[in-house]
Amino acid sequence: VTLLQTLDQRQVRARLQANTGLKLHMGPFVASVRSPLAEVADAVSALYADYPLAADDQFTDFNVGVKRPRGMRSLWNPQVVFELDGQEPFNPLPGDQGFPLLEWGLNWCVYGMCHQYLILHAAVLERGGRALILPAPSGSGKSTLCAGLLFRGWRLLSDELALICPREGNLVPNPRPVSLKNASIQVISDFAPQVRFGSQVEETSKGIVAHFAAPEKAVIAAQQRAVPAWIVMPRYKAASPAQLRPLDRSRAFMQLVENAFNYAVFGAEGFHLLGSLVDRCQAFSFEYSNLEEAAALFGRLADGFAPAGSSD
Amino acid sequence: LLIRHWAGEEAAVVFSPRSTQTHLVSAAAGELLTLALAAPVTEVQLVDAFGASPDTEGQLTSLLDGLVAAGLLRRLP
Repeated sequence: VTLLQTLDQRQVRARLQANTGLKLHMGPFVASVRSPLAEVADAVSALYADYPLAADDQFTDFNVGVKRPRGMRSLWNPQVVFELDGQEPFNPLPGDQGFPLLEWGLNWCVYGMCHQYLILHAAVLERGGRALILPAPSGSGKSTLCAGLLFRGWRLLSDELALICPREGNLVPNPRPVSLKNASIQVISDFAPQVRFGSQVEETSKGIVAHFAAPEKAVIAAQQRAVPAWIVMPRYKAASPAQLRPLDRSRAFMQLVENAFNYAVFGAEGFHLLGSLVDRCQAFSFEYSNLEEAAALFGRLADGFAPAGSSD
Repeated sequence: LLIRHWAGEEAAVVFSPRSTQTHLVSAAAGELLTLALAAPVTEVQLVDAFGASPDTEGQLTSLLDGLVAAGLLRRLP
């Protein structure tokens, strides 16, 4: 296995500009990435350093790229555009948003096309072979909690997309750079001073965005699936103590449906699959304001000592 | 229809293959749908099954109306 970090900056840029692109294994997928942009090359080098390179003749799931759009406009107002198989499915974004656009585009490829998995909008972490699923919409504190837990002994499967294998119902890892927004960036910088963020990009549609690399151990273990054990609906609430409250399975089921990208594609099979997922998990709602307190509570949950309904 | 009710819970989930919608319904509605799925039933039979009293009859009628409105149940002429 050859990792991206074995290439120097010049080689990474050359591959990103070649017709075949830079081919990387990203969990169960292979992506070919192309970009002539120096800032994208720098971010890919830094944030995908631990990822295995894929052979040129390896089947590619996604042929993606980020480039400047054609036209005179780029002379006075640089923009970037995402490309999939030569098509441009989205409107261009401001020129400094190349790397976030690549990440958003890759997520879109996964949840829009990879219907071999039932896909939830959820962070997924693993400890002791058991998966913690954190389904939640943007702004709930899911990514902050996920980032915090992966610095306290949990393995990252994904900060954004839970991939459920329909055959065995287990969680398939797809570790990628972790995206944080706005105040969360400082929260995690304080919580885990060792974290190395890539460039912060301001004034995106989500505010300020910054990524940090998935931990090396998560990338190395990207083939190790995890058994579903906990479904937790997180919500950041100012001044709230960390509290896990048992959640009815029927309510947890509906929350999963609401956070699923392709549930309708699966029809009745999706209903059975989510039902079986809920059967195998404990379900909770969770409120928190302090990340250290939250991490301690989840540590106890993993150890089997989580109190029902309180942080005591 | 596909119905799941977890023991002890107040609600059940129902999947309608025709609309591909999933509904959260009360446990009683889940029971009623399970009964109706097995074979067509009359309202009289349902009242018998759920215990006849003026109160339950009224509740049952509004439950049936809700399920019909949600497209989960059909009244036959």
